[in-house]
Amino acid sequence: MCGACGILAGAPDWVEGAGVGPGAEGGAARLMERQRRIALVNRLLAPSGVHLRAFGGRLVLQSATGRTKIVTELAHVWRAADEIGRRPVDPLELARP
Amino acid sequence: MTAPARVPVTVLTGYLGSGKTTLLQRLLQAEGGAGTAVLINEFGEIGLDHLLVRPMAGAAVLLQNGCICCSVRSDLRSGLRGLIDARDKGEVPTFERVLVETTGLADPVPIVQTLTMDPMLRHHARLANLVATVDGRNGLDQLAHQPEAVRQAATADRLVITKTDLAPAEEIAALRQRLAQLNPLAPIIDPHACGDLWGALLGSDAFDPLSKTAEVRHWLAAADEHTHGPADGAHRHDAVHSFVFRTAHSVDWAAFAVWLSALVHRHGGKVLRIKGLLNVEGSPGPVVLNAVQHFVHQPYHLAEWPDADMSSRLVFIVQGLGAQRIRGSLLQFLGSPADAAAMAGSGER
Repeated sequence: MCGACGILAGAPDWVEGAGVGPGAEGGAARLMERQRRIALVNRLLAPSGVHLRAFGGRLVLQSATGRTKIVTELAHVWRAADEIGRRPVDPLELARP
Repeated sequence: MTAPARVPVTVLTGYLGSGKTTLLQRLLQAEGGAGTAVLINEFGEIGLDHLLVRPMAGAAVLLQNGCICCSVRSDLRSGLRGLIDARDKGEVPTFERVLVETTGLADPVPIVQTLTMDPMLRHHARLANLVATVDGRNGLDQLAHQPEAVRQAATADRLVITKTDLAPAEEIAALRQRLAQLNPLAPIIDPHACGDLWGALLGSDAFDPLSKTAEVRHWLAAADEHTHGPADGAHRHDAVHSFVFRTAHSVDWAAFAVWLSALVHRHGGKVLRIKGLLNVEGSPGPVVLNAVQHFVHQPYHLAEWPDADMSSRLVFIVQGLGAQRIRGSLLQFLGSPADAAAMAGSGER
């Protein structure tokens, strides 16, 4: 399994981006990839009012009302966001005009 | 020391009375049938008495041809674990593969999840094919009225039309057409016309290193046929239908994976299958994707493209979700809003 595939396989370090792509080597590149992946997740979280951020070595979800949850793998992000967000995350909303 | 190979597990499903047991009997008596362990829901239902030799530990029995048959009333996980454990301890003969027969009303996906998520099983077993039997006489009616039958057929890797000798040829042809529409990814097999039934159903799968490229070629052929076939039309809101997502641009894997993860979280019950290849940025070969409802199989890389076309092609089989919503959302998220906008007003839902 490469690091890229780990995103879907429930790897706890999915956000690190090891494996495919220019961000595989070097601390700065890894940090950039980490921020890019968090930004990708936040695009889908935006309508729910939930925001993902790195805090220390952890990933923290925070709702508009200040509720927080610590998450590890990507699938946890959506479940936790559904619990604390103002509405469920739905990627198909992107297709609405 | 290398780890022992994971035993392939084939799941046999199909609506009530669709001929699962007859197919199972035929498979067990085939040349390749020896060395198979069979797990079934209710032992009394399967009618394998003529094949039985003697009972073994627990609910297992040894069949004449060396196969093991084991009844599982409710807990597939413990049944499969027990079988593998008994094999490793030498309490039952060794076996090379497992066939799981589900009840006629079963959704095969929880079985897939059991196999792939269980911490012990995932290291000792791997999913091979989902095989669905469809009744040649009553299949069209069942597909029209029984949602379970539709979902079984739409999620399958192999479709077997049974009782083809008992139904008029035009009915079989209509059933084939309906099945191809529901699930363009699965080969449709007539056991009466198939010389190597074992090979067709159990001899190859998308995770077998020897056959995975050929399997992917079949998916791509289905995608091409679908792309050049009739345009996606309007569908009843709950209808199962399929469509192809295709893009000539290379795909940002992280973006795709984040989007897919969210899609199956929200709509997994309606995303019956996704299969295909992605041209991933920075990857020399294509990445193979295979998903069943909420579950996404471990993606894997192919060393080279199976054909000259290096575009990303994914076949979606969905229920009650519009093709344009999915295509538009994915293109938008991958950063191709122009392509997404170009689709607007095309008449698709």
